[in-house]
Amino acid sequence: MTVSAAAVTDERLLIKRAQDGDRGAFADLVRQHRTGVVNVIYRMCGDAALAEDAAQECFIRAWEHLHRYRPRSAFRNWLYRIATNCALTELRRAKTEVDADDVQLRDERQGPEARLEQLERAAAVQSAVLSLPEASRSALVLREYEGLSYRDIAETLGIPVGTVMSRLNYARRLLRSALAEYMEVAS
Amino acid sequence: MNHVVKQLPAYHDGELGARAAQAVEAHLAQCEACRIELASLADLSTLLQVADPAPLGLSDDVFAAQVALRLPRDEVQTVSERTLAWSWRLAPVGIVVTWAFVQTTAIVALVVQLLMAAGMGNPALLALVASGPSLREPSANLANQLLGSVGLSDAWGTLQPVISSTWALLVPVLFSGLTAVAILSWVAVWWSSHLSSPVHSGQIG
Repeated sequence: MTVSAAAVTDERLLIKRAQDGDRGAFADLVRQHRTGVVNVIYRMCGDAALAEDAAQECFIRAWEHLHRYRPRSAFRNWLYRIATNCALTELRRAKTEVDADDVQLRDERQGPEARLEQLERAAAVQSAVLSLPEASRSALVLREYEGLSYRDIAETLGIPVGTVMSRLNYARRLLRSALAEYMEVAS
Repeated sequence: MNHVVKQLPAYHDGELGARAAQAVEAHLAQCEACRIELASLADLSTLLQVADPAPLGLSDDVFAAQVALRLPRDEVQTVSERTLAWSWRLAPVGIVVTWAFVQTTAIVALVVQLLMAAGMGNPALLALVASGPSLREPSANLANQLLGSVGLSDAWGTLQPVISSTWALLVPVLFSGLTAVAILSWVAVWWSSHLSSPVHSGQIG
């Protein structure tokens, strides 16, 4: 995931203005990172409505503690760390379970059988991801769905890179076992 | 044949260095088991994408507006508040430096007094110290005048060594105690605010 230097500079300017109390600049940051934050929380908890609420809570916490953010780490990583914590807090509070009806189809042109099959696969994938231990799930979501590098995941979760690798390997091993029937290549 | 199974996840994620990646590729060219393992990793990544991202119910603008409405009304710190915050952060350094300065001064004064009492040391330097301004001199003069005004001018000569030695013993002890209390209070306040930060409020097990 490459971020251009101009985009980074723009973001730093927005962060600086937001740190000085500019709510408009913070709203721009919210718009930029909203999709990523909602997705991280959604992948962690599997509930779209809950994810949207938790994402708002995440941005409010970010605003309240924005003066503590230092540009030596990526703003996205700092935000995703808050998002991960918000997701875990919501999970412990709600203990939600995956609802297959929430899983939306990507290609509406498919026939009913193919749609049903894809729906089933999507539900199985989501269920398998949600059944992972929280620590491994966080690493997997940030890698597979958000495309973060090992170093960024380590910074986001506050763990060493070696631990990121072992958590990812563990998550993938569990997923390959849980989703064996949906995989084309047998391991 | 040494398989590269352990390096395959990092290779699949593009996290291996150029040399290590070349070594893995060279091995893959001749090892079917490792090729199947790599294909399985790629297959899993593809399969995971089947689960769609979060269905976004609100537009970005509406979402941002809702967040803006929920933001606390408190204004961001002003310059003076920030200065105060920085002073607070630097407080422990100031306390320790002050403590070190007072302790050093007390020790030097004690050494000089001992040297003078033993009649040792460089006479010129000791004379300079003895004739120089002393912190206790004004208070000693004041005490002498007060006692003299009530007809007890001789009492100062008897009381002075007792007061001096008690003073010399108590002040560093009291000062060290106050310093320790100040530092511990600062650490307690810092720790409680640190725990309430969003980054540390959740646990990632």
